[in-house]
Amino acid sequence: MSRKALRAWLRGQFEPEVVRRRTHRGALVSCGLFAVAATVTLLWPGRYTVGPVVVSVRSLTNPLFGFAVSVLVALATTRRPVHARLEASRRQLLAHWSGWTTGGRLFAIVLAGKLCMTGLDLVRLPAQLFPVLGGPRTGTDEPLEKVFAREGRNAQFERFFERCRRELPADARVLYMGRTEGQLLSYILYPRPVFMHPTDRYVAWIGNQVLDLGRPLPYDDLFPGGLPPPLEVPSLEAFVASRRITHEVRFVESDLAACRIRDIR
Amino acid sequence: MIAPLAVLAGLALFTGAGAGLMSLFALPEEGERDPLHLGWCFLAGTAFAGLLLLPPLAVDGRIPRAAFLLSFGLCLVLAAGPGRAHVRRTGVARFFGLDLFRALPVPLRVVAVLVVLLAASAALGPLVGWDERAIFGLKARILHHEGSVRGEAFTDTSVVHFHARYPLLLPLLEASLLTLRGSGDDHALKLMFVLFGVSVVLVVAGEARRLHGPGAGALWGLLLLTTPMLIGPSDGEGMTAYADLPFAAFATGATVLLGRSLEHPDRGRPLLAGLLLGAALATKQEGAIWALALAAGVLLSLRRHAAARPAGLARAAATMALPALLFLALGIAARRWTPPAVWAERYAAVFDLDWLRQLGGRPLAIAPIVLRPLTNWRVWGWGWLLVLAGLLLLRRPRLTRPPFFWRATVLVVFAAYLGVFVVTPNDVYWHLATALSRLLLHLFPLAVLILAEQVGANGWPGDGAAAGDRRSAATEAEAGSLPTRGPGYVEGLPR
Repeated sequence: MSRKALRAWLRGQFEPEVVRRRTHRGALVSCGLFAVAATVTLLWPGRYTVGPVVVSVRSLTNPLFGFAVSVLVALATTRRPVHARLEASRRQLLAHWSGWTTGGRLFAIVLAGKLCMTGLDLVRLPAQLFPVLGGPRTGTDEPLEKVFAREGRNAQFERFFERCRRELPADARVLYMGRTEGQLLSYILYPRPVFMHPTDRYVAWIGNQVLDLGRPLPYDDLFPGGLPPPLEVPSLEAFVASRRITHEVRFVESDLAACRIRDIR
Repeated sequence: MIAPLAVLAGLALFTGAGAGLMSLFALPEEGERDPLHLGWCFLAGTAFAGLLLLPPLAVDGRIPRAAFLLSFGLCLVLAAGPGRAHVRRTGVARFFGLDLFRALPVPLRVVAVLVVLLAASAALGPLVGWDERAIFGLKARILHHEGSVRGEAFTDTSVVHFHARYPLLLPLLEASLLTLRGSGDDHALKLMFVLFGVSVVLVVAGEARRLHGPGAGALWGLLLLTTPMLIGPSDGEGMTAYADLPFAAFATGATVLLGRSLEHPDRGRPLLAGLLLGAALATKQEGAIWALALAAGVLLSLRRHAAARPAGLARAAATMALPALLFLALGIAARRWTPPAVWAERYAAVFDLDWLRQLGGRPLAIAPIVLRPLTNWRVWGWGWLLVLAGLLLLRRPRLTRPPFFWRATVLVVFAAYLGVFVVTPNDVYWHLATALSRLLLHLFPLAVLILAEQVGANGWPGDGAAAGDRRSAATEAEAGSLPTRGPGYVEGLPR
């Protein structure tokens, strides 16, 4: 190839139309690749070894960001440039705007705000639906001491109940001492029945309504907390005996030493 | 891998049974405007399954595994026979709502697909929320494992079983899926709730399409789908296995069908509406409020637009009441084995006059909290603000009967819910914090539909107001409730 032909070929490679077309194709391919990466992250997150390379697909952030950038590039390099489309849309919008009533214009503003909110919500959605992909989270193999030292009440009892599920025998009948989180223990331990003494349960229900909101128990006759606990409450010993309870589980927030799983047969 | 497939098979059987019912009910073909799609069929199928599963519990408090399998067998028969014929008649693409999907601009199609894929993918996980495990999941495991509501989990109030007397439709559906899977593993159960979400979106989008065309239907459907409360994973939101989304789907479906029946009273639509209302009654106790609100809505609508064929309307009302009352009776009978918990839900106490006298200040005290969802974008994405703005700012011609009926129903339900908060024997701020959003979710799909109708009738953003007027006049004339208007009809409107 002569020098002249080479120069012409090179010049052809950088023609604006050629560059646009290639960029557009590249962006479309990137869209596909990032979509595949996002799908893999959603369905099979983990670390993959591909020959000498270790690929970590644990976060949706990068695939989604890459996908969004690729879409924007693809839109910007279409045959009819995106700014020309935007200009046409702007003119159309202005034409409509002048024809609307004041109420219609106000509604349009609220609608625009709502669409922005929807966009923000959609950006947050993956991290909400997949908290494990949204950032660091307590591993299931992390010692309970660390969980109790660092995490909130929910993480504490979830991990403690998981331990209960592993350690309690299949035929256990459990007395729970704690607050309303006992409802979740009941689900987690099923088919092992979980009981609460009526007074504990009453206090838990009241506590659920006010203590969880960070407020003290009210001294108000109108509030059910002011009502007396259920009458004819059996003693704890009689309750345990009548229900043939075999184990006791106690959960105390942020106090692992006070939490216990005990055989009381 | 087997778990999601078993759940999907169960959901397909429910949907197929619903499609079969559509054929058997001889529902009038809605033609091009709103085919009886996946959404209607799934709702009808799950309601039908509930109707099959409740009788054993109502009769003697037990439900053997064979009953679950038998109900699936019946679903299979319905799906393979009349269901298949219904899908073929409707067309596969229209049955799955793909015509609505194609009416969206391409970028919005991408958004819709991503949202549904995200939700479906997240639904493959286990149950992790509170009520979905403590209330509904526990009942489902008990029904699957023990096959009875007469064991100590239901009859001994000292067993930790929250709201043991709650309606049982949702746990029965979950127990059915667990039976099909053959274990109590709760992975992928939330796929059912994704389908409930898709169903309610299709119902709203379909009705909006019936009124204002496929483009409008698709856009309003997408707006509903992308509302965080419908697709989010926090407690009570759509992606948790709470009862509120299924309840909203059943209640919205019943209201839409009843609205259509007010225009054209026949036998098929009221029967399906009654089935869905019955399912709502068997899903949440608020179903009773909704049933009364529907009755009030019908009466108010008839007061405003006299019925052209009162006898036909009375027949339709009776047809609708039949399945709803059957559900109600079965639900009450199935609950009789379970004693009430003495420390919770003391609603009998609210009828005490001394109590009611001291509540004068409550409406004002709770008003700021009730108004908060208007601007709460994290939960509602400004959805309620948009509805309110549309209703207050956009002028429109006179309301026809169905939109008036929807508005009356929503207002009565909303007033009743507020009334519950005003008289609640629980701590009112706790009650609002834990229940308000979930109760508003019941109303939101219908509110979006009301907004869609308002916007379409206004002609916003184009110059379609006159078209909206003509459409309204034509609809009323078709219903026979108003005389046909002349060309000067539009001129007198506040425009």
